[in-house]
Amino acid sequence: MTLAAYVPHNYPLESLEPGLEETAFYDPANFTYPAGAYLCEVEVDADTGRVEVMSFTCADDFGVVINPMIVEGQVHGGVTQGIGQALLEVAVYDANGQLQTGSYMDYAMPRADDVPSFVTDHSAMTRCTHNPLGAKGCGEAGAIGSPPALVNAVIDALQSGGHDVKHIDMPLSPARVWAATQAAGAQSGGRPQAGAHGLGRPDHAGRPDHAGNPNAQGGRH
Amino acid sequence: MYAFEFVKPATVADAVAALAAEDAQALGGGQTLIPTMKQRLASPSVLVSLNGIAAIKGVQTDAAGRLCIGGGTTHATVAREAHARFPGLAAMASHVGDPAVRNRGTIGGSLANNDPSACYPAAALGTGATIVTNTREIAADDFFQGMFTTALEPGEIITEVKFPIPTKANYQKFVQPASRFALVAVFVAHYADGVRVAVTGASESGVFRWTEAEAALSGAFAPDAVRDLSVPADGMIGDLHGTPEYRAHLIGVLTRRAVEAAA
Repeated sequence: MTLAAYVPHNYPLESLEPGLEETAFYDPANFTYPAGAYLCEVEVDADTGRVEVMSFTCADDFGVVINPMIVEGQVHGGVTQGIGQALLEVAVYDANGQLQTGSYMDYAMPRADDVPSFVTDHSAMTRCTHNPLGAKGCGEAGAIGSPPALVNAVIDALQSGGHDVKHIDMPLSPARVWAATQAAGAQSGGRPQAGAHGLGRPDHAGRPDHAGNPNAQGGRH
Repeated sequence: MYAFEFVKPATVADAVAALAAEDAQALGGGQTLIPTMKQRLASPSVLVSLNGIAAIKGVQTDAAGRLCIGGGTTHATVAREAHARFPGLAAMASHVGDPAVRNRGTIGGSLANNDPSACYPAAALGTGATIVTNTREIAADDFFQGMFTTALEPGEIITEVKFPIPTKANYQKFVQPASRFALVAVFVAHYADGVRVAVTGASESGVFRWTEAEAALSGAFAPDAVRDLSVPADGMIGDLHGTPEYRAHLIGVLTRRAVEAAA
């Protein structure tokens, strides 16, 4: 039938236009409500302000996952964008409105060595109740969950290293992190502590070189 | 990019002759010049490629024990061939830019450009190297004359750089997050008769020696020797990626780390 519709010879052109098109709309009964928890472990070099993301663990309930590979990819891409937002990316204009970050010489995009190997978990597949697939949205979860986890991890690392820092505006560039420690003033008596997690310690260590060595985790203070 | 003539001579003499043309420009690896031309910020009438001159390529040791690197030698070649004789320099060369940059960019091009954030100026000044041109020898201390400014005359070509090999050396680079050029970097070289410390990326005057640290480290080559020293923020670069105060602070941190890591 499709072939006939697109091959206009022998076609009743006087009574019917060639082609075959149909449009249908699906109106979902409601939004979907995915939920997740994001855990980030960082090391902060307090002398330079440099932040290194050591591990990132993302647990999401996306409902019924139909294609696990693309869902995994969405989370990886989202977390990478979130790391870019939290640590690197900013558009700066001068007083005349001239963009100062007009090229990648000054605009810092996240690159492969800025991100760790992610640990993800989508096993909690609680069915969405109001669509036939039972699926929930997964496109933005990584980008939404990662910046607060990362920023909280940095603040926690600085505090456990004896720096009374409560807030740093994103992106947490080395210069900004160092400036924050200077503004706060290093408190005496800050002792090195293991663990610098935004939302608690991940169940599995993200990097093999840290597995089984709790002393290796946390800030370099 | 505007139109230009292109010549690729096989000898230094032919290159010097070609550079006598009006608005002629020498081309090393082109890692700065070509992007600058693409942005139409430079428009030489003749581009004289130095890449066809075999005599200015390679890594050798001279009778005085200095490591002599031809001006047209790429960073990748230096990283590979200087490794056994001067590991500190090879390590520095192996972290310039990315593999594409290292396989095109040359030591002569980097030194002649004297970018205030480039790596090679710190190595040359930090070792007291001698820059050899087609007409003379220039001590590193006289060569660098402020950002993007050198002692080179128009048409003068760097044919070789002679590095006195230190007993220990290390280069610590703290990268600017976007470009990954040096936000600040420090080259420390320990010799039997003293220590040299050169700083790149930090100063509005380009690469410079931190003589106070040199004196302290010549007395005792240990991180603690420079722990109480600091560089004034006055005259340091302030930009999107760091204030003058931050850069001045990093000089101290990186100098201590370079001393710690020197091998």
